[in-house]
Amino acid sequence: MSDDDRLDELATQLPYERPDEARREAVRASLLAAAKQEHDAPRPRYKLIGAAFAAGALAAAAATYIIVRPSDTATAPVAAQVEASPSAEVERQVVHDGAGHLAEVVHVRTGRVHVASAHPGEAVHVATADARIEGEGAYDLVVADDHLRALEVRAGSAKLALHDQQVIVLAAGQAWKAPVITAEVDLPSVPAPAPVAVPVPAPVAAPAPAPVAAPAPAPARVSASAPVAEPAAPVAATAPAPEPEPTPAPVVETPSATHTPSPTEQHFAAGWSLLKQGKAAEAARELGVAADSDGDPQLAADARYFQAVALARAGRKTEAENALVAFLDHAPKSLRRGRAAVMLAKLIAERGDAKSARAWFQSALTDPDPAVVAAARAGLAAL
Amino acid sequence: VSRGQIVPLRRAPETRATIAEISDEALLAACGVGDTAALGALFDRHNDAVYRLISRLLRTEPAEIDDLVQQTFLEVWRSAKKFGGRGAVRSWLFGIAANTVRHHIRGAVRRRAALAEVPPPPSATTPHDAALRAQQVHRLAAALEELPDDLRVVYVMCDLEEVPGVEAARVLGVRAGTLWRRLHEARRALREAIDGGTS
Repeated sequence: MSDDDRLDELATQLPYERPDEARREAVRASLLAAAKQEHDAPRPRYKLIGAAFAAGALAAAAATYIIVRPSDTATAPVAAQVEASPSAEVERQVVHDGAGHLAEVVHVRTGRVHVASAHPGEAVHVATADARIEGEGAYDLVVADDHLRALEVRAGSAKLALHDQQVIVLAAGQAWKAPVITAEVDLPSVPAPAPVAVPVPAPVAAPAPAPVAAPAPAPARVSASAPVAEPAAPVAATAPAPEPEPTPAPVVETPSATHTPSPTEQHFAAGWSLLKQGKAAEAARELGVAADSDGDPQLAADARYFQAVALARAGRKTEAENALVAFLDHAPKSLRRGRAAVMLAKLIAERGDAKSARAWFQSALTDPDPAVVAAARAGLAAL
Repeated sequence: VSRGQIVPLRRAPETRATIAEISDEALLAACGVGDTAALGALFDRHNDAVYRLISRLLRTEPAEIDDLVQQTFLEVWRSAKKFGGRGAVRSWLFGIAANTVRHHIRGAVRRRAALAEVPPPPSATTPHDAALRAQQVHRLAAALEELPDDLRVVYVMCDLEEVPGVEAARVLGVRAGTLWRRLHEARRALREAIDGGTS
């Protein structure tokens, strides 16, 4: 019996609270009384309209401000002051949701907008395609292409909830800006390094995910505004061809002819070149230096990923595992997350930790790359 | 043109689902519009698991655990409209329970409860085995209590309650990598604790 199995077996015998029926019923009755009391109490605050109403009325809105109050007042509510920049596309209306609420709705498709609560202590809600804001006081925001680009709190405070991330609380004077989104671009016909030394655990019948079998495009980058979806043209201009000059100097945003590679870029380029030559251990060392450097964090994250690939090829599985965990921990938006998760799951499965492997395979099921999803499914099936 | 015939419309007999047939999501939606019966049904369905989770996260008197269970379900009631539907209601509920315990621990200087009585192991073959097993379980329980809160909640949710790692990470508000690392550290600490007295 392995240590993990022994731990699992003992853990099933850990004591826990098992109240008798009388206790349970007392808690239940008290709970329902408290819930009813809360429900019956008047709520002076404005409420956010329910999802169904919002979805119907505001489907086309890029950003939506919704302030609702009971319609027992004859006049339309004035709950927030909204000032838009001259170039902003704004539409303002008062609607009735049919459930006893009047709502003041401001649609902003693009532009800069200043929002301020009309009454102290009352929140103004803002929703965009990628974020939700609840602010008390006054704040400015910039919306473009359905997405929040910047938020600055002038007075009071604001809670910013970005999808899939923790809530950020901003106080007066603080600001948030959307990170510059970079995209990874595949180099054409990168030759796969010779031996695939990444261990595929026996029970996992799935083919190794792409990062293992065919590593990795060089981390050429384009800015968020560049045509990310068409890699061919920008890549040809910015990324070095892998052959016959195999050193792909990382291209960071708008490189100029006089661009001097930073130490991070130099180590990354050296590591990548070594990886392609099949010198996994040396590659891992160079990529590790790049990953640990204080340079461009996204390039460092890429370096960490490729360091893991190199370590796996060198047979240093535990270090590869640690590098993958570090990568997944510090690069939440990387396009390589799914591949890294599958690779990590296979390494974990190989050493017999099916629970953790399952969690990582599951995390890759939502990856946009069908090949990654297929590998994750196959991995789960084989556990 | 054929002549039409007026046929009286009949309302189909109303069918009502029993509580057992109503999904957790539907019950939660009903909570969101103020249906206390739905809250009661959710409580009946999940209170066992919530008691188990909370009592493994915090060793304390029964009355305090009762309070925390009630607070958890009351928070479920308040937050029902916020449920995003991404994942199981049970995982979401566990996330609320874990947060409730965490706030409780922060708010009152804790660690006053002594270790609870550890039940005898059921499957030991000899008295010596039984004693050894009980000792290990006792040691494990003590080690679990000594774990940092972040590690303990991850271990209890993922390993004892078998909440999928992705969902646990979501409801706890941490990245999957962080969750996995915490789970790894928790297991290592607990393994070491078990082994600590066997040599």
